[in-house]
Amino acid sequence: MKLLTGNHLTEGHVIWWTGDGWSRHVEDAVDVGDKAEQILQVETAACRVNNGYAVEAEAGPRGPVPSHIKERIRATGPTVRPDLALQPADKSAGSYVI
Amino acid sequence: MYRYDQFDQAIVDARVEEFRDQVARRIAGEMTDDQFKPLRLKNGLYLQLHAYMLRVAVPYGTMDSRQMRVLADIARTYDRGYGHFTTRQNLQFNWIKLEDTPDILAKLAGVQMHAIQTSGESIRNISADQFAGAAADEVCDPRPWAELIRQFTTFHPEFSYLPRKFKIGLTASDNDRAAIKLHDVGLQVLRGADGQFGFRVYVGGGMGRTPFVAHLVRDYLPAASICSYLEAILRVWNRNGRRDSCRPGLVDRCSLEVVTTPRCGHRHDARTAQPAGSV
Repeated sequence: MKLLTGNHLTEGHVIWWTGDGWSRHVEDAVDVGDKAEQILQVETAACRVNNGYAVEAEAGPRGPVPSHIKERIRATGPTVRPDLALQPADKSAGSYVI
Repeated sequence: MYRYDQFDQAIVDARVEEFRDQVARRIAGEMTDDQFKPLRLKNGLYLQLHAYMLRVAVPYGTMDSRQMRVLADIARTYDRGYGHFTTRQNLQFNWIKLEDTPDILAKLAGVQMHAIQTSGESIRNISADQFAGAAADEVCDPRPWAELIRQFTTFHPEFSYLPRKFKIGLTASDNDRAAIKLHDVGLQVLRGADGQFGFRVYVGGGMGRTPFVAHLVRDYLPAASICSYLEAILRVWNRNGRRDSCRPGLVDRCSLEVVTTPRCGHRHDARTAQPAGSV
């Protein structure tokens, strides 16, 4: 599957396309199929995403998991201080594991 | 410690307002990311893996308590309560919001600090011995020389778009605490046979993915020629350095022979020396 990601224009956060908006949590992301360019054109023009692009991902038990390690690190936050990393939207899911 | 004069302050204040306008236009969608990116990089603002990062220049690692308190205030107000001092003596804030950046730069300008030339293909902040001015083994306090070079290299119109970033390190001690041989230009202040100060000059050092140890190119350069000598090195590199590679080394890009060739090099004479009394 393909996910859309980028950074929030003003805050700089990593964000993921959910089908009707953007989320900081990769588990909210949806497969965009071959619509990546089309969505990015609209969202970039509306300044809702900065530096957007599509990434490969696989389905996981809690939602999509980016295939590349770089994107998994982007999804979770700094690896050297897990306490400062982004916590999952669903607290019962525990910590992210890269 | 150097204090801004009216011109320094006016330039830095104007730069903050210019960037405030650029940020507003970017947020309003009047500029694309491609258009805005070189402008934010000119003001030390990166977009990194997780967030924006602002790198603040701490010239040759010297700051006073008032500046330190403002940096702490910025960390508390706009970041997560901390920043990171870098190996080249700058300070990085890693969780900055774009919309806050003009206010942060205004606070920095209020204590004579900025983020100009802390990113992009420019001449970066000068690194110096962290014990400069207090080390028993130094021939002099190297910071006035660092300030001279800082003023010479800031906003130098010929070198605003170099093949790659360019770093200068400075020490006045045989004990190289500033790691000058890991800089594009490493300078060691010496006292010459005539009792005057001068510089031992190394070129071509670099860190990062492909580290290089710098080569000695001049055992003793009279101090009055330091600016023109640096200009000669930069001019050779600007003309010959490859812009299609991310390799950092000056010598790696255009060879030691090119850097030191008499045709492109430097002569120490009255035409290239600083005017008497200006140093």
